Amino acid sequence: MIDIDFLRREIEKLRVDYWDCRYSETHHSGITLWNKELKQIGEGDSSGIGIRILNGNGWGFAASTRTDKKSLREIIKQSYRISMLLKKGNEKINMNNIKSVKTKKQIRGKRDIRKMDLEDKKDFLLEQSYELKGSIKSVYLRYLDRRERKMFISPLSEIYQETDSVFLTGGVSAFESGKSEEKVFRVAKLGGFENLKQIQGKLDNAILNSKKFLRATSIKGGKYDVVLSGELTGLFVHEALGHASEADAVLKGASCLKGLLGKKLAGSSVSILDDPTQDNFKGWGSYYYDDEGIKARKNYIIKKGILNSHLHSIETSKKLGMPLTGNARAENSLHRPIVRMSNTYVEKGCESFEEMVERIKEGYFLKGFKGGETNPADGGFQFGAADAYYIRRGRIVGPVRGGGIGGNTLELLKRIMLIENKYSEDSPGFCGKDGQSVYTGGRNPAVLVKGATIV
Amino acid sequence: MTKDVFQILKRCSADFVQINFSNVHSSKVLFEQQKLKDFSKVFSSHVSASVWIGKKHGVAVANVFSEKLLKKAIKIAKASEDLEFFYGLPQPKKALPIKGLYDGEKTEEEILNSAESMIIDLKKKETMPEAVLEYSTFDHRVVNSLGVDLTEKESLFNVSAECLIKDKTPVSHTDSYSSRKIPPNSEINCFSARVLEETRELRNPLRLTKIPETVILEQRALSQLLDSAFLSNLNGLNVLKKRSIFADKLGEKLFSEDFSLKDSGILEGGIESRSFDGEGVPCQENSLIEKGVLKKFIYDYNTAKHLHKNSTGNSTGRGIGFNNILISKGRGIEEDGALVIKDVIGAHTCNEITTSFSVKSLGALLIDKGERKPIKDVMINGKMVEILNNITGVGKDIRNVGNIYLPKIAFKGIRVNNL
Repeated sequence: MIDIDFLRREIEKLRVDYWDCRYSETHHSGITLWNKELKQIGEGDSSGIGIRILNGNGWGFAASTRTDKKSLREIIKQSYRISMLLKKGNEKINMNNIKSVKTKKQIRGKRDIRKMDLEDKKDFLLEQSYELKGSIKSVYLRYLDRRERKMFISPLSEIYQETDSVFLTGGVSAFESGKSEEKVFRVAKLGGFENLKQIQGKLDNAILNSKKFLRATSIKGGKYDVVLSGELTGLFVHEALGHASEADAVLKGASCLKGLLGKKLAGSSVSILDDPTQDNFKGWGSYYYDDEGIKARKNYIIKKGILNSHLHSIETSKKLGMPLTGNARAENSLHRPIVRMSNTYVEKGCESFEEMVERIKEGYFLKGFKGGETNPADGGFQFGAADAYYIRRGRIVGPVRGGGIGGNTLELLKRIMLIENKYSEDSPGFCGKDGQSVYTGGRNPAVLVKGATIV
Repeated sequence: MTKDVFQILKRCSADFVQINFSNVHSSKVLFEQQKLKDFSKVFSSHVSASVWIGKKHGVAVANVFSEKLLKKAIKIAKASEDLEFFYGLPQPKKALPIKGLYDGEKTEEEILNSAESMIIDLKKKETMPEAVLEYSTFDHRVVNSLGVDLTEKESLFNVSAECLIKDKTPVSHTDSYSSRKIPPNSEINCFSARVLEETRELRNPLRLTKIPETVILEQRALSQLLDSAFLSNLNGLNVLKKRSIFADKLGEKLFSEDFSLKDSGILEGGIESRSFDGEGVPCQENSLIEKGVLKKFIYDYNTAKHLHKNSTGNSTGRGIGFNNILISKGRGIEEDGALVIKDVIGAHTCNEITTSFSVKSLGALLIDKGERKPIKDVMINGKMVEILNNITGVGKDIRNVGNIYLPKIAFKGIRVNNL
């Protein structure tokens, strides 16, 4: 831990306009099994401190993994010097209406993951049953857990947050007659080890699918009506819409949503949100307070088809004169908080999945995701689907190999015709931006898209 | 510190111990719309302790080295299971210093001065949403219980810039450049100007009407495809595990005669050059593909021992990784009639075992009687093993994209589809 009183005294001597400090301690463990062989097992601890100082309109930031008093003085000095270098003219960023918060929050599991034996965690992975036979050539399971303790201190606030998380991903590779197929699954939750109980079913499913898809014919590209599963809908709203709605992208002119607030972008049944409180703070991207000490809240990006809000840090909300949304996040205290999503999702609609499939004469059901890339500036995107199924005359005919969806964000939003009446499981991910990775997720319904480009 | 580490190692009950230390000072300057937005300075230290008890292996990581960290690694090793093979750690060997890896510490003012040279003149509709300059210095150290104790200082400079032209159909282009030393301001300015020039070249793209036979992959596109759909097959561990398509093809001619590929840890000023690898083995140059013939794979100490080979100096400390990838230049390319792909999106979807790829272009140009005509994005697909055997020309100029140093290459057999 750090000496908070010492820190406050040292910074306040400098008479700066505003400052904040984030200290974090992380304990993590990881285990990788490949074909039931233990490939990697390890534990680690890390800690660090990051200090932001504001002078006029110049923000300084310096950080270190060293937290002794000498190092703290050095970080404060560096942050101050940078803020003076960046200060231009007499313009000031007004930080007056930031609320004071003094609180402690925890998201924990039933058992303390730090105190669980690594052997117990390893044995749990070894207990998952599968056989390497026939076309199934390899199976891996990769487990990670983390306890993160974060402290946010500013002239007004002291916020302590402690979060446990568990993450498990698995992959099955099948080979036959020169063809290969890999199916991947993941389970990730904020909370404890008890969240991993259901992985056997997912593993069985991946094995079944890898064999099934190996023998499938290849997908035919072109324009089709498609049903996107909840997971793939989640990837679209995160990658294609969510990144473009981040106000820092809007401010630097790198968002296809710039200038469109208040404009109708989709049908009236379409509402898209970013919500760190989803699932009572158990969503993979959940948190109570962001890394600028702002309380988490539900934000409508699109409300009934109309672009309603961008996502903000303090700085972007001040620059654009818009309300705070609590979306400033940092990978850890060594990084500066930037605008990030949390749990991003489409609000559920009225149709059942079967009703959506019945509406399609010829098209595809794209399920799960296999990575994706997007360019928020022009709205271009391309996402891979984990599984694809051919639909003919309102029925799912069978699996097809490959497949993904490409196109333009604003075009695709207009083509969302129907929305499923329930949410999928969480789609956990590690979202990268400016060299930082944060947990993001969201539970989404399936959607029917008219005339989508299949690649 | 050296004495302390070895005293602690002596007291350690493990059979073998390896400690990897790294200290990093990094500075990052960010411009948005050509205005200085952020400047940050970060110091971080990282220690990884690996221990082996018999064939059991444990790793623990922290910010600082301590006896407690070693004890934790031992506890983890005890909870572990026997590795398939373990032959020990390398003995100490002298590693010759590599030139051009360190450019010294820089003041905030020096870094800011370099960063400001990224600013360029823009015309109406032209913007530069983001430009970033980063400069980091590293202290690496590897210590093992057999007496290896090696240290090295490195630096890394990186700039990236994105230009956007707001036409009716907006076009954007991003590029980056990295080196060990901070280049003169005039070169940094030329980098930004080149990104803008290449963005201008992509304005008002047309739909491709005739599919050309030849596709030229420029360095950014080719490096991504090599990285995502080819290089893992040259990793000795993948060969051992039969996860490499080339596992039993050593000595065979698999690619065009124009294609030669080396891994080098000793390239002067190379982005991934260093005098020793993550296990303390001196780095070297390894010719992996010579005139289309597969010659060698890369190894760390234990994978090499298991396959009765010598380490190629490619340990990352916790696995096997490439140093610098060097692809030989050629005599030039006949560009007329070819489709040039500058960059691609979606390389993460490539299959590294079958080497198949299906990616979208990010910037395409059709060369028509010497004229470079911008083309709307297309999908390109194929298999790396097939197209590398179908090379029709290799460029004369080498540039690096990260640690891959390569020319542009022309191929036949890449399938092209309009979106």
